[in-house]
Amino acid sequence: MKFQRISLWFIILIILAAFASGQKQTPPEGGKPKDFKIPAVTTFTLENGMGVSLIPYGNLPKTTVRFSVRTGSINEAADQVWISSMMADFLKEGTSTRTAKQIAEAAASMGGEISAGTGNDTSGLGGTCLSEFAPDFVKLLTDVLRNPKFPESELGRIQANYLRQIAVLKSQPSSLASTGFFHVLYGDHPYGRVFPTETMIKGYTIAAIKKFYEDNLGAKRTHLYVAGVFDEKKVEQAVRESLKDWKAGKEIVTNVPVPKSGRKVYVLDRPESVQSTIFLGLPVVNPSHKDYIALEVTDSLLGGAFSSRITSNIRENKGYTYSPGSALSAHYKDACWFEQADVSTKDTGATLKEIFYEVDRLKKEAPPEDELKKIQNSFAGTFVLQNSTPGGIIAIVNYVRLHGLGRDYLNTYVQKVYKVTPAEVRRIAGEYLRGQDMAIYIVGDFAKIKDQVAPYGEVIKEEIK
Amino acid sequence: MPKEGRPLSGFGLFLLGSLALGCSVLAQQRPSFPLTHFKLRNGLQVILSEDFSLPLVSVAVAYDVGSVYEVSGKTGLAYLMENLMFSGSANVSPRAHINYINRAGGQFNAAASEDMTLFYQTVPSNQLALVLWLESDRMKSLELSEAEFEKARNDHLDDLRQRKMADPYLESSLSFDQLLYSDFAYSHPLLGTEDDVRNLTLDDVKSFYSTYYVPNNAVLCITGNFNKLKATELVARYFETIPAGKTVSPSLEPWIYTKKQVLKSFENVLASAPAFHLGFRIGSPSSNDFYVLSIIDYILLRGQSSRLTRRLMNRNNKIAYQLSGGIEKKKDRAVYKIFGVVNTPMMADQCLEAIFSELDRLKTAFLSEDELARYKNMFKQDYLGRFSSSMEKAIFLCESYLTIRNFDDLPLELDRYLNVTKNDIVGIINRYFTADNSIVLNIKTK
Repeated sequence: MKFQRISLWFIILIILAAFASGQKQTPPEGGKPKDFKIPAVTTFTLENGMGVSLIPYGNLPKTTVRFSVRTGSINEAADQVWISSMMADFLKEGTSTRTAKQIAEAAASMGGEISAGTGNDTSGLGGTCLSEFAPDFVKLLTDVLRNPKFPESELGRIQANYLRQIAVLKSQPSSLASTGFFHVLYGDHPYGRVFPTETMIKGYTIAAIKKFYEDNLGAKRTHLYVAGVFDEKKVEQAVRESLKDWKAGKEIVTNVPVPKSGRKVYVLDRPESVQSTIFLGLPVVNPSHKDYIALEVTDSLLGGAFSSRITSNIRENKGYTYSPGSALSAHYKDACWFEQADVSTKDTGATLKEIFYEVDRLKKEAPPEDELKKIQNSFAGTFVLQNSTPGGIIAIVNYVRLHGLGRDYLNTYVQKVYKVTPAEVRRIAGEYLRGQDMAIYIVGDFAKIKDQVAPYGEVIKEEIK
Repeated sequence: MPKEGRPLSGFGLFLLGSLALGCSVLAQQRPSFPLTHFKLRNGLQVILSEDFSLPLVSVAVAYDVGSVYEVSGKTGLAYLMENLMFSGSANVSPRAHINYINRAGGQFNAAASEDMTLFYQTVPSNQLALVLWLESDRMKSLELSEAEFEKARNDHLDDLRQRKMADPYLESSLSFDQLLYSDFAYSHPLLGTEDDVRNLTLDDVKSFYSTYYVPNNAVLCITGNFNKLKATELVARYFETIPAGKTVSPSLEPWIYTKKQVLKSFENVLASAPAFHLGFRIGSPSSNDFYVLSIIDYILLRGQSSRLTRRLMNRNNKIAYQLSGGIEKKKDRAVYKIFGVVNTPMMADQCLEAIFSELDRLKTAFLSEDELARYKNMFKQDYLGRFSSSMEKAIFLCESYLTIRNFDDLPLELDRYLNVTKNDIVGIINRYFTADNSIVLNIKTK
């Protein structure tokens, strides 16, 4: 009798719970999303080989101008780590006719500020100005790009800044872990290089920086983007006038890596560290491959989105970490997938267990339709948001150009995202996200985690380089 | 149906063609946006501004409450309340708000200040109903459970501790605020004190919510791609049934202060380098003085070529190695703050001397037309940036409404900044940026 009563109560409670939750209103359904088209791009090429894209956009009287040059760490020799970014820093330090101060003031007069920087495959120089100054801003940036002075007087200060930055980065587990992880994948290829040494930085002479500039900058490697509100005719005139006689320069150098894969656990020892910073992942197909969009959707469902499987598991359910996430990182004709998380030292092994559990689950079982649908909706919305500013549009058009994705890519992107099926997600996970090939890189307390991580592969202790 | 207020549709906002050098075609290209403003019967202020250029829509809800409404012993309540707004309501489970927005591919955030608490999101335009439903649900029926309250309070305490660790000058900044603002409302920390937060109760939060999170104390702003009639219907459907709360009484007595120089020092055990805080008290920010003050801010501290940046951070003669500051604008007052980190206590004095000599220099004829035009163009570009997305615009409109309560001056606002003259600048420097109106806190290390 007793049992019956309990089970009766149990049933009532279930009914009550169902009733209570049934009373919750469901949110209103969104109607059909409105179409989003990337604004029209007018592209032309100067005789010296430099490409130009004009992208009239929006109605706010501002213009974003950006030179994108196909150079970066990809062109650095083994003993030249970071010399490309030092070169970029020097651009703002003065031209043959303007001092650093005059450059800054001229930009400010047009409501702008100039920034320069380098990445793996491309380097950028640009800024945003008030629309009425767009042609003059193009000319100013051209001066900075074409006629840098590389003043010897600034070298010591810039070197000291770099040494300070390196010291800061080396004290951060996240930058140590990402650098270590990429080194495992790419080895001595430029994408895999670790921090430059103090000797290297101090050894960079003005002559060497200048030589890097001469070897790697020129019209053939450069594409200029102008986006926002501007007078197209006047901007085109300014571009032609100030850039038509720039040297063509050398051809683009390509150097596609052959990344390594294989399950091993690398631990960079930080004794007494209360957290483990984990990076794990492997090389995958690159953006020019037909499966890449499906891979992006799969990544988002697995770990990229806030509501993704790995995040729900280790953040919401287990509470191991606050901000985990996966991502695809693309280079020219190369890409890799990785998941990263900061977890308490004691949860290190358990976190690996859950990540691999989710990776394997997706391989075994196609995701439910509605789970995929939510991810696709999220993708479509994010795509519009990311491309809703002049800077965002320039970035995406430049991405299309770097990877040779063709004219239709952007306008068919959202359709392609929606075409991905649950079965395809499962296939993609099985084909590309192979748990047995994933390298694991952890920055943490070696003594405390070595036993926890041992089941996941041969453990290799690393030193800070 | 909502009572239709005063539609301000179709007025072209801002801007000076005359300042634009050269291109007359572009000078005519003024960004303009429609604006409709009405009030629901329960007192909710509604602002609509359409822009069909992208398939996105933004919704911001601003509550006219912030830390100034906190009473002694209960500090941190406004900030805690902001976080609790994500902890679930009658039809939305804890943190489901975030999931709904993420799944729609949207962005969201929230912010609490001394004067205002703001919630905002941008989503694809077909999801407007979802966001209005979410916002109305938490305005109407926030569920404040003991468990969620405990969790939010612990997060809040963690946040306080982390900020303290991350910023060795936090404590001295707080004590500088106490010198600068004479009343409790503005001189206590926005996040509250650890002791107060630890002692907050669920009842405190419940009564704060039912007093201030009411439609008659809020502004709802929708910007971006939407149909005005449909949006008005949706607003009525989701918000009109929310009952009005009691009238919220103003938080403050008028700020009364006497001009006098204050010079104090503070021993900081956490910081490794000495530093200084310098502040000037400024009258009501809605006055004309504020336009001038905004341009002065650009002259002094904005960008690499601003006066103080160049003087104190000069590469060849660097006397400060960190410099920051600007206008702190509050509901009925403003202050101007400058903060610098230096190598030795003597250099702090040197910095202060340099600052006052730069201010003196501005009073004489050293500011050329070119230089003034440069600061104004920088200002203009930043001002325009506040309209660069539907989200920015929604935030701007909420803030503007809560500060000045009408939009009459908005079309002229940019012109007022850009029309500031050298004489205006000298006048404001003479009035406020003087030694006898300065508050200095010198931070010494142990």
